[in-house]
Amino acid sequence: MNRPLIELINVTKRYPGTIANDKVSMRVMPGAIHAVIGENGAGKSTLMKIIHGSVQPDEGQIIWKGREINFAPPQHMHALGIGMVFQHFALFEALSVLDNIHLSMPKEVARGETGNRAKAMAKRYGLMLRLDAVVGDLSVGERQQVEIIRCLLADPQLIIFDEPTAVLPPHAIDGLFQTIRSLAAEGRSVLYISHKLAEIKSLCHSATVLRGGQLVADVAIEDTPEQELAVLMTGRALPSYEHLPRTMGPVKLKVDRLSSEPRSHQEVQLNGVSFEVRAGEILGIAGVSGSGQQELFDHLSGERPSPRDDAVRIADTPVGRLSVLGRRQAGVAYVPEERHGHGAIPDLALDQNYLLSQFGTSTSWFNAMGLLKVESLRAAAQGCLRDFMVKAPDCSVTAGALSGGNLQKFIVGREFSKKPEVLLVSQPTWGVDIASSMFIRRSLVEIAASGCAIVVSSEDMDELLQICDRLVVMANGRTSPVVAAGNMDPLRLGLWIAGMFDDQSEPEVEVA
Amino acid sequence: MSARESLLAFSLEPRLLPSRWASRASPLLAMVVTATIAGAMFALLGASPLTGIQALLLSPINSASGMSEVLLKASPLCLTAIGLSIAFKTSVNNIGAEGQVILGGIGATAVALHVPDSMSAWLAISLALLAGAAAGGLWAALPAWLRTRFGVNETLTTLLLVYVAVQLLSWLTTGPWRDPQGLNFPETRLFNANMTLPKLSDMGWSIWDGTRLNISAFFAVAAAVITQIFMTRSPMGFRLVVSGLAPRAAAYAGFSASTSIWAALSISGALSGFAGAVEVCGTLGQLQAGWVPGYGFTAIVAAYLGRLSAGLIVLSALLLALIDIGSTNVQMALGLPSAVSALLQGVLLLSILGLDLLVRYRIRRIA
Repeated sequence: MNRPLIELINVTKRYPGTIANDKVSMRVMPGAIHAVIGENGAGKSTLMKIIHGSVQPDEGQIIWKGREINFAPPQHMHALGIGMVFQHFALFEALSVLDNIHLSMPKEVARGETGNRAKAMAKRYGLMLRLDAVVGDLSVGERQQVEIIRCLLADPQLIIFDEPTAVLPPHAIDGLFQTIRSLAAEGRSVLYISHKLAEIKSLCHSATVLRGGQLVADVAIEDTPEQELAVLMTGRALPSYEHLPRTMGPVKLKVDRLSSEPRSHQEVQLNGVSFEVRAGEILGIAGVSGSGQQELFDHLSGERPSPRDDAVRIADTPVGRLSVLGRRQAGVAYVPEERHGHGAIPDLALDQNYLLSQFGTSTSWFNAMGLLKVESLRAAAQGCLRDFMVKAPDCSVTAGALSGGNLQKFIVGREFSKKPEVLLVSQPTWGVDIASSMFIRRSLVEIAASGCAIVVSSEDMDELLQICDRLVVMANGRTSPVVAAGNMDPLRLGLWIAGMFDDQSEPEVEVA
Repeated sequence: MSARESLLAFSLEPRLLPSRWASRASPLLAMVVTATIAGAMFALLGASPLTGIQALLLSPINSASGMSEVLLKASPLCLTAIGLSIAFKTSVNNIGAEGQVILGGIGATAVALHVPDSMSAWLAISLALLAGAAAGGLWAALPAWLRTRFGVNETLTTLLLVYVAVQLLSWLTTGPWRDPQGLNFPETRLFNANMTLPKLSDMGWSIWDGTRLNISAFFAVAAAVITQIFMTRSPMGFRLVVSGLAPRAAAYAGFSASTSIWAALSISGALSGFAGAVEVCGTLGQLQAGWVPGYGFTAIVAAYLGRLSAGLIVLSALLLALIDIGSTNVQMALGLPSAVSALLQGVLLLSILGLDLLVRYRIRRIA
């Protein structure tokens, strides 16, 4: 009988106030692609950090090839043959690919030798590798390949992939899966961390399901339908969505040939972005992140005013040159992608965070003496917690104490409370647990039904198809033609995401 | 890993939640640590630790005149530190309060030297204090302009303007404002009676009879109360707090970054200038070239010691004033050098910072 490559027995890790892993056991066979599934906060990351050596468990055993190993720092685990490809890459952007790889090699290996080995490795697994390119110029997918090669050069027997597809464009995912499969075919084991069930279904052999820090199930993927995995992971079934019939009103937001001047080379230049959104409609913006979505939202929210006043119109009023306050007055509300430090301030209490986006609205939160009306602010914030099912004892806790999902519900509720004409939402469910994601999507649909025009940007195509009426794709700071969500087929989507929409019937945009 | 390494390896782990208990107790613990180190230092210098600590912490406050001196020292320190706390909360590094204090003194003097004796004392003194605040505020607005217009770091400019202020003071007191009857001393003439801050003993508070204590202590308390309300309940206070914590969230809220910088620097400069005016119209009664307030820098310590909260800064200013005067008493009682004062302030600040680290992190031995 085969011996497991690695086995965890009753591993427990406690943090103050919470148990991240509660007596979790798991075994990974050689050559297996083993998934670790769980919602955010289920304890996946902590478990992987324990295996990787960067976190010490409080109890439990780790057995590697039949021998118990004591907790050892990452270097030690690395030497044993455990490698990890992190979700957030640890690359030096200013250095070349070769330098980045060379830095992680043992001292005695010469730079040229590193290059040769890296090239050989890349060829073996069909990876693209431009050794002399500067990492800062690479796409996210290419950076991930650099990370993978760097990890493989140590010849690991167990490779941990931490949500590797979270950052990848759809067309890069297939390549990654092929690499992972060929690694497994060589007898290496792969630990694949994710909460995307469709991917796991197509890639993995077996899975450990975690929920709330506890082991819920160990399953063979073949025998387990996706629906059942979802139930195991969330403790409930995925409900089906229904499109509420909505009546479309007049155009509320019109973006007309919006272009921008980048302030740094990291910014994407917007180039002739045009679309319109009607009252009651949800327009989805698809595309790989970093295609200009952030710059677009900056220009729609007013954080970056535009040179041309009629580049952005709210309910037919040109607002392009107005600041955040002016646009808010005109009826714009905004849920930014980054919750901590943009849409909310972790160190401030929820009622203060509620106040954050109220300036410029018709409601005054300050009395005749110019002092804050503490009681009415609290009441409003409290109402937002209640209406949007935010799990928090009251509005005096800090935003940083809330989970991602609860904070996002709070922010959506806060923006909705202003009865906006136009609601901008960037990545509505990024890092949000499944239950809250469903709630947020449903809320967005209801908000639209109340007559608001909504723009949603998301990398999660399923999410966009669920809630949007029409879709537009962003690539390289430009927008594709707008199509009804039902008419978007995968082929066209793929081409558009890669920026190939020039051959469409849409007339060429003029230069502003 | 060798056995030796494993015995000695420690790491700092961030706490998920700051320890509430530790955050309350750390100022008290810091005082205990400071007193212990002070005692040890006295013992090493061959003096009795108990006598030393008694001279340091108790002797300044066992008489009305002692208390009055502590309060007189604490008040301008407190006013300046409260102003700085507003800047620091906005993440604006105003470290040039010293210069703004000096400009405050100069502003008040400009009024004091030119207002007729016949003007009512209340009006005259109010004018002088306002002029001081305005001068300090404008002095601090200069770095705000440089920062928002040219992107010059305010840490540098506020500090450099201190030296300009010192030169300005020296020029005024040796040149245009020198007292013609002053035997060539670099100082202005003594201010008229309507230009000096009223003393509490003259206002019928008999317990302060025979002391120099003036109404500056009330200004400090009022500034603390007003600042507390300003920072927690006014739109501008909210804007400053938000700008200091998260610039991107401030942009999201619709607050312009440069307005916050202008406001933070001008307000902190105005409070420093006010403190300088209080000092010149109070204990000094004239402007002197040798006037080096010093508390423009000590106020940085006071502000952080008071965790940038107005209420706590009142206490930290009192504590620093106490140590300052106590150190003088230690010098006399034990014959120790004057560096004792600076040394003890340093020890106090280091203990506070060290203990604050433990509020947010815990030490864990790597086994």
